[in-house]
Amino acid sequence: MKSVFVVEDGHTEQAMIKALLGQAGFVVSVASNVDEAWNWLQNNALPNLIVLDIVMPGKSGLELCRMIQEHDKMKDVPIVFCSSKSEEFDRFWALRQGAKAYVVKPYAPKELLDTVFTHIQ
Amino acid sequence: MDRQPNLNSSAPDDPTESTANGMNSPEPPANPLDPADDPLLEKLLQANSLEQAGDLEGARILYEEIIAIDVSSVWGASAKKALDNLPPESDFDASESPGDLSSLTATGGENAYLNSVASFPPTGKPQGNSTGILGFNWARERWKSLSVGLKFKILLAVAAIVPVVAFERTLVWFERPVAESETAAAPNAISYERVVRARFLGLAVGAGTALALLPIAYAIIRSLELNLRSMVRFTRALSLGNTQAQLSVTTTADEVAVLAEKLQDIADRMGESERQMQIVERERTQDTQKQTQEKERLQQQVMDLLVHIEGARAGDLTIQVPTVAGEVGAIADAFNTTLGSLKQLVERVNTIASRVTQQAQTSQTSVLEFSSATFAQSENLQNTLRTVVGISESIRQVAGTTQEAATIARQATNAAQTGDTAMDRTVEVVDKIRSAVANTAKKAKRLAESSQEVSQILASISGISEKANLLAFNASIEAARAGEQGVGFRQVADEVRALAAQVSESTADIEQLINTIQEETAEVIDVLELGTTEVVKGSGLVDRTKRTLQDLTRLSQQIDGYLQDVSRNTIDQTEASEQVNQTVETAAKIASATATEAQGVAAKLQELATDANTLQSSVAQFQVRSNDR
Repeated sequence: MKSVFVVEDGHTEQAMIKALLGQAGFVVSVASNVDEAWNWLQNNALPNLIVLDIVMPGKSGLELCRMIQEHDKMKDVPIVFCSSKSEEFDRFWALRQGAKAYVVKPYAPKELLDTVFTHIQ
Repeated sequence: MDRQPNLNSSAPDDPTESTANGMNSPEPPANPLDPADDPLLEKLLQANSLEQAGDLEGARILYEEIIAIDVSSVWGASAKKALDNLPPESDFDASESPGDLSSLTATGGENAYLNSVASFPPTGKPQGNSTGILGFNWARERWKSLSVGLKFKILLAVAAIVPVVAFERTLVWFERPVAESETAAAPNAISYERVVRARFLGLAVGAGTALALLPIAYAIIRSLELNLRSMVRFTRALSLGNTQAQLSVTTTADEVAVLAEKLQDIADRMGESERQMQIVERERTQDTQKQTQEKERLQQQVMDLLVHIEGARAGDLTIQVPTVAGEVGAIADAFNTTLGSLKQLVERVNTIASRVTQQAQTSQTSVLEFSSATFAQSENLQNTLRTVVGISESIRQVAGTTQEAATIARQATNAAQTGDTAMDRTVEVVDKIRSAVANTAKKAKRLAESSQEVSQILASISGISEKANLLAFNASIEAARAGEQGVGFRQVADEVRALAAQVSESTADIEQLINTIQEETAEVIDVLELGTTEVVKGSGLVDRTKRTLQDLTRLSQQIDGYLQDVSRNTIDQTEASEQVNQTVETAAKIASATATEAQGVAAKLQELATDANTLQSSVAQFQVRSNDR
């Protein structure tokens, strides 16, 4: 069973992603901020994909993405950004940090699932 | 709260499990993640399932329900996005005629949507109760959708039928009490006939009225219908944007004519405002295009800036971002300034890091030297400690020896005191000897004097005997002369002379003896004098010896006192040496610890040097000088 790690500070968004991915048959783990997420990633088996919010209290998702990209073992885990920042260069910049895809909030359930299915290892 | 529960994993079939409880989340802390607890999330999941399964219509209905309940929530926004993404519905308006008014179409769509919401009430009411309401609604909607003319026709028909039926029913109503009251008294046939007549009359009146009114009413309604259709066509054309359409009606003075005139006015004004709108729209389009171009330019500039910044992130601090005009140029400028400061900082860090490395290495050498010196010091202190222990042992031995010496000194004092006492007795004896010798010498002198007197007496006797001898000689001579007479005398004289000779001889012997006595007495006196001198000398010696013994006692006592002091001092010294011992031991321990710590410091300095090297190599990834090209 494939696993997805979700880093998202909003409760409702967390609930939705978790429910949608859970319904699609993934094992879902959730963290609410970058520090928690980094701690989790270092102490657990690597997931098959990471869904990252960008704007969070404390460090941003972009920063976590760079940390993951610089880590020897984690750098191959595909990252999907999921953010309400919808400007073209937000997408551009997020993808330049090494993410595989960028989903703009609000998203249709199918949109997120299709993206996850496309990029999951 | 433990962080671990925030990071739990949950299997997809375990909807009760809670996940991260966001600290800054405005939502209530109650578990919001259970789809069963959130009907909207449940609906969204259902809709998604339907969509995934290909039931787009079912999905659409559920999405619409979610939007109807709460369009502003995450679920609503997601459902709206999903709805927008669904393929267009081909048969959505199929039930409506294409020729209907657009407003009706919209109303029908809205009602269909509302009905669909009503058919999926969130509270889950039973469907059966709403069937009657639905039938009524349907009839009402059908009636609303009828054209006005048809409505009038129906109304007219009703107006024609209703009086007749009403009249007929009224008669029946009036007749019944009469019939009932007359049941007993009058025969039924009479009452029934009256009723039938009345009915026929009523029907005739009603039908006649209807027939008379129908053509007139129809003509009016027909005219109204035609005019209304014209107006509908006109308004439809207007709604489709044809402001040039002309409205012509068959009447000239009634409300319909006024309405038509006003509609034409509205159309003219709309045409005018449309022209103005077109101008405004053109300007707006131009503005939008300009804005779009501006935005694209801005985005391009920002992307360029980001690419440069990315280069700086990779460590190249020599980057200079081109400062274009506008806000991005300002940012680029600020970025260049920041990068300049960072470059300076990196250079400074580099310098300091190398200095730290150097100093750490130097310090490490010094500290290692210090460490070995401290080890040597520690070793010396150990030696000192051993020496001090030796001294301490010696002092203990000295203390023992001193005790023995004190005992011996005390014995010497006792012996000296005993000697002193013996010496006192010796002095007494010597004194007695001296007085005895002195007496003896005195007596010897007196003996010498007596022997001199005897000698003098002997000399007198010797003189007397010589004189007697001479006298005897003279008497013999005279006796010889006196011949025979004198023979007796001469004999006497001879006897006397022989006596005198004997006396002389005896005197000579005595003198001889006296001389011997005198000589011996003189010798005795000499000896006695010598003895006296010796005794005096011996007495002096005894005195001196006594004093010496007293001195010796005093000295012994002093020695004893000194030895006591020495003994006390050695005890003090022993204690002191033990203290010294402890102090030296502590010093040795400290020196040892210091040496160990110094080694630790050296190790830390080594680490510092390594860290500084690491820092230097970290800083080295920043390029601070441009490559010579």
